Amino acid sequence: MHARITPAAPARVAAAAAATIVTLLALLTPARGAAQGAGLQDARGKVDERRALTPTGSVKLYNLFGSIRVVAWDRDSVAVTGTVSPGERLFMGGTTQGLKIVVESPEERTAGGAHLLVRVPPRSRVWVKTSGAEIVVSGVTGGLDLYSVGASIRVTGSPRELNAEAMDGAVEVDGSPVWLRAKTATGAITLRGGGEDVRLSSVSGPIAVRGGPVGRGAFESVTGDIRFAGAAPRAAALTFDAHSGEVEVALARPAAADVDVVAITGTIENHITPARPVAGRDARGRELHFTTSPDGARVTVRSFKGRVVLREMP
Amino acid sequence: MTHSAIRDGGRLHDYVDGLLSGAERAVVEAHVGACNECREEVRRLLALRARLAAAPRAIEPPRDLWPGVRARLVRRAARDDAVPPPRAFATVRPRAAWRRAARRHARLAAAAVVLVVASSAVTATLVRRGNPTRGAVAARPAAPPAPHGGAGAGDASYAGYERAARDLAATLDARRAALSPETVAKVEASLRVIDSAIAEARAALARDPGNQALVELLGVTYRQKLDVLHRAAELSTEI
Repeated sequence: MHARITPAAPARVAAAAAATIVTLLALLTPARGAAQGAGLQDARGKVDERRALTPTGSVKLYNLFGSIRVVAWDRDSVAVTGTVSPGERLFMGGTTQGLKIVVESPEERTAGGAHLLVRVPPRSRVWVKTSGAEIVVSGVTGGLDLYSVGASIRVTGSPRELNAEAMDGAVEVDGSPVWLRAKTATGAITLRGGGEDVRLSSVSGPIAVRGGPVGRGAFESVTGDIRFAGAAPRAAALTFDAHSGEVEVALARPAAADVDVVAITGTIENHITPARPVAGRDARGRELHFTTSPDGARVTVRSFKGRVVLREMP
Repeated sequence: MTHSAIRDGGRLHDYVDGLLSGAERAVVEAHVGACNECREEVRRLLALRARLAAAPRAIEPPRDLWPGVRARLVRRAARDDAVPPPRAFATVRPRAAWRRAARRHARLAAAAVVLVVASSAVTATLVRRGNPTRGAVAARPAAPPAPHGGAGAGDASYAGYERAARDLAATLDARRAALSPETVAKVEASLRVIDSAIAEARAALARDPGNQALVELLGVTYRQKLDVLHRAAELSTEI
């Protein structure tokens, strides 16, 4: 005896199959951008995410290892492309005012880490924190806060504000941020350009400034050398402090400056004017003061035991 | 330079504060040596400086201020981390971990507040002790009564830095496990370099307590120490 099939049975079977397929699709397909805070994506590690962001919105990026390249583009949105290592995932969430992008890793370190290219509106404020991921930023004119432990930080362009901190990673800036702060423990700090308000500080890494002009500058190291070669406008105020590192200040010709140097136990060499250092108060240390222009840049150098060299740029 | 130019042009104040260039100082010194009125004014200004140097070096905030500040810091830290992680990855970043991160941020922020308060107090002290930039290398009055209070005053000034450094070091110690051994080694190496420089500068300052350049250099080195500690503590915070 054959089972009796009613005319409605095929329709019910088809409906059930369709429901199953829809349910499976719903489970397997990520709700890309459907809800704020929705994440990611591709188990294989390819990343391609986009979100809207206001022109001056903020972007927070966390990526422990690998690299992050941030590039300004002329759109009111953020696009993240690149790859993540197996086991890593990218989370991207937030609002049109602020986005948080996090590479999440189940282990502290994954092979290779994540390599991301992040495009942001030029005037946005970007905050990046990494452990061993190199940070490269170009074209951003808003604000930048960049932190790394052991990898380098490189910035090209002239952001309104730039704060870069690393332990033993190097910090390199090509441009003239209006406000610049860079700090390292052992990493080198290099500024090719200038800025209105610049403070570069390192424990033992070398500090080099080439170009200028620098309006107000403070350059501090403990054992690292400090080398400044650039223009200092008439209203500029430059201060150099070093414990044992060498300080070399080369001013653009003609050097219009009011210069004060104190070396507690180190030496002072002046190749700008005939003025020679004299013994300090109570015959302690050496001091040098000279003026090539009464309203020139004010240059102050303090060194505990390093050598101080003053010269004009060739 | 005339008497009125010296007296009314503020040069006596600059002279006492050690702000004059060598040539100007010589002119003013010569005038002060010959003018009773200006000599009396210099004496009065030096006395005023001495009284200022004896003023309290730091003003403690009210005891009941901290709970409110702390509450605001905790709220801010929690707000900063308000974007939740995806649930699908909860094993990696459970909400509890984010709450722990918020608490850690709060402790770090508390340490930062201590740092700021200490730095401000010490900076104010240093500023009171003389011009912070130009005075360090500009010529000083020939033989003023010691206005700086000697090495003992230096010790008091730097106590704020030391206290802030201890607080940050404690914060860092509590989170040491969050940093890799390599990072810890780098931080410790940098701190050794800084501590060695501080010891040298303090020893030199003890021998030459009125040396304003040394005061400035020492302040810079202390700030470097706080920076390194603060940065390391910041790096150890969970993302």
